[in-house]
Amino acid sequence: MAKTLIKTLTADVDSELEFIDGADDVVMDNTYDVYEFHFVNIHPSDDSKKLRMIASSDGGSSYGIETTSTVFDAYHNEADDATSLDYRGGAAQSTSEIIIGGSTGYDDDQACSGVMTLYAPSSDTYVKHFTAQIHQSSGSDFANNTFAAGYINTASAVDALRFSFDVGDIDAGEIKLFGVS
Amino acid sequence: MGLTFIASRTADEPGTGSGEATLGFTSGIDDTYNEYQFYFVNIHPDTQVTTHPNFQFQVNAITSADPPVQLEGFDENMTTTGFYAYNRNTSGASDLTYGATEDQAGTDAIYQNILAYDITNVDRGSVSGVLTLYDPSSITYIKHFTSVGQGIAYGNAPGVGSGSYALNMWNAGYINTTNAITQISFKFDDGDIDAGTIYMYGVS
Repeated sequence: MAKTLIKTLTADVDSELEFIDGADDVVMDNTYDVYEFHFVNIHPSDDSKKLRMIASSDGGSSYGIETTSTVFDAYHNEADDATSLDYRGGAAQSTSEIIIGGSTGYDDDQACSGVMTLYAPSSDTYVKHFTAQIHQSSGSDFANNTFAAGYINTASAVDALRFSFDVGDIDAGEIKLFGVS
Repeated sequence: MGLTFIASRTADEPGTGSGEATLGFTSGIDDTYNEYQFYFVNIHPDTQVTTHPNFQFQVNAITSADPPVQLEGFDENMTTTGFYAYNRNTSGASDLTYGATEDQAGTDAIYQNILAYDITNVDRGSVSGVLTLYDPSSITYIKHFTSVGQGIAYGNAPGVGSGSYALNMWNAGYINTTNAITQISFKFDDGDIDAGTIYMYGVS
């Protein structure tokens, strides 16, 4: 077995969820070369909000490492009259939160789920690549499959990640951190 | 789902110009698992080349004879698709597009790009991602694969100007043989693999 559950964070009307290496049993160092964050039914407090992440290289004391990313998505609505596959933008050396998910509805039965993979966060040589596929039921009742990827542009070790919605709280849901070895 | 580590291959000569021409697995791919995953982590091109190469893979089969015989060369026929999203880190150039030169068909039998468009060999450039190979030991079906890669493209990346780009490429296809696949090879199309590790897992 090479996928080890490290930590599960459960949201309860939290503005953000944070994984910090060395805190609360979280490991995000050279123990593993690949880490996966599994998002299960992440439910926003506000309608049509997007899941984001931001990285730190000083144990969460400060966040905001230049990051360049891509985002595209496929969608299809319940009315069966709208579909698309299109580029949605991305970050260019942004030090703000990076969009990794699409517009998520806040009806009682709506949420987003998916996986983000982070490669070699402890490398002191390379930038830190990440890929994410997150599916959400949107506020307009679309199935929305969002693909985000990019690189955190630092040769310093990334030792903390923080997740939030662009507006409001994470009302509910789990984020599970796995190490792949 | 269980993910079992099988083996890894590492190139570890950063900056020396004496990397590995290929990284691959010539054993361990059989009917133990019907799904194999290859995680490639920070695969870095040879710093001695001046071009910015594409990261690729091919496979090799055994014959259907009894006992089977290992075929020569990584040159199986594939029919594949490729598309990618890119975004320049200085902004002003981004898109999602089908990669007309990132696929192959029929009897091309060439190495398949899984992260293309000038992967940079400078500024900490590298490629990371996952390639999944389905049921390689089947002697009934063709062999499907899917891959997702993330890298830094550079220079005239997708042909829209200079600079570095986040490039996210998705490839998939089938290896058009009913012979069992037993070997896999990864390489850059120009120069060596200077550094990086490829992990092979069995999925059960």
